[in-house]
Amino acid sequence: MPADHHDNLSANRGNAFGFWFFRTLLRGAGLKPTAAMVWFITFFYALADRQARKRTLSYLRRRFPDAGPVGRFLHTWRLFTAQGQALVLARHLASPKPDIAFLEENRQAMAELLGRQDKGAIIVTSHFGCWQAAMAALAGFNRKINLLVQTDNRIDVEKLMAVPSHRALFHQIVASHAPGGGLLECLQALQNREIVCIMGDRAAGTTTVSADFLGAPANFPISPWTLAARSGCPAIVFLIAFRIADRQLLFHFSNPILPAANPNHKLTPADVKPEVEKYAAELEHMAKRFPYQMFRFEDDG
Amino acid sequence: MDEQTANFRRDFKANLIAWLQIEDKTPDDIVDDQPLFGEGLGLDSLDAVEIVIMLQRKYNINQREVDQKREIFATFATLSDFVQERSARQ
Repeated sequence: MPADHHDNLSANRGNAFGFWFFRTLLRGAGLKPTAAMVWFITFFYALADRQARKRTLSYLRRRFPDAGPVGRFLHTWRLFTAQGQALVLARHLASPKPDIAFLEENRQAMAELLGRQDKGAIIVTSHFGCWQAAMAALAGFNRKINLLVQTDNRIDVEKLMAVPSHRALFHQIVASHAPGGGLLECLQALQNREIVCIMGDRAAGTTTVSADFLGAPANFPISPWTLAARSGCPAIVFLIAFRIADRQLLFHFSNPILPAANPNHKLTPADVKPEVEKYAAELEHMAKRFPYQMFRFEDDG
Repeated sequence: MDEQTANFRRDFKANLIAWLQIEDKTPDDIVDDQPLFGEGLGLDSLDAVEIVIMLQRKYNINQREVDQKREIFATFATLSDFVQERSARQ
């Protein structure tokens, strides 16, 4: 099964044969049979990969608090399966004629925001659903899209993100240890009327703040919201769910969120907590609708 | 270092400490040639954003000027000298 080093369910999963097998199957048999095959493979992982199973617990205990050991195993299996299917779908999207329907919720919020802004906008997304398909929706706004990526993920993000037909619009900003760590480039891109896309669920050692998520506190990074406050560019939470059986991708946009705080001193986590809470609420809303498409969650952010 | 530069650096250190709300440091604790980020002063990427905003609001230096001179973030001295030079032009 293809590996995804960006979520925390499968840090070391996948091998060359697995990649080849699924690519070949996808080319030969198409999307649905390949997605069905994922069920068999993930059953093995759900059974044998104790570490990955353990990493799902903090989410599953919140989302399915009444599940016993068997129920939890079944939830884990479904979670792993959806994760694998998201990767298959992302690969499929990069093919010449993917035949996938795009459903968009609240797209006009993003369109109106870009229409009235003389600066850019921030997209705060998550390792949720087929997040790799973000470019398919964002390219329609015809703005350069910058994706802030972590240096520890030494993978070809461009391949993973299903961007072949949108390559000219796509740019990576590496969150390095150099001065600014990528955020200064983000600030610059926003001034140039570009879109900056940041994961709102991955702290990667940066400052976090706690927000309620599925009934208990969880930590989320403050950097997307600091960037919004300081650039004056509103952020929109953007989450992508999928339905393989219906060959559908669902692009969900929140309303624009602009932090109210903009003090003459460094922003504190408390300053942007209300916006982080709005993000957590959007994520929770989608986790309730698509409970098996939440691919990164840790209590410690 | 001339007296004007020494005075400017001292004031700039105080402003930096106040803006970034660095509680455990005084201006005397900041060594001029110390790197601002990582193992030097220990600032992070969010602090870099905050410095850009501070330069805009307190020193009237716009972000585009900073974008073209990213190397000014190397040490306290490089940043301070850049700000002093820009301030003198205004």
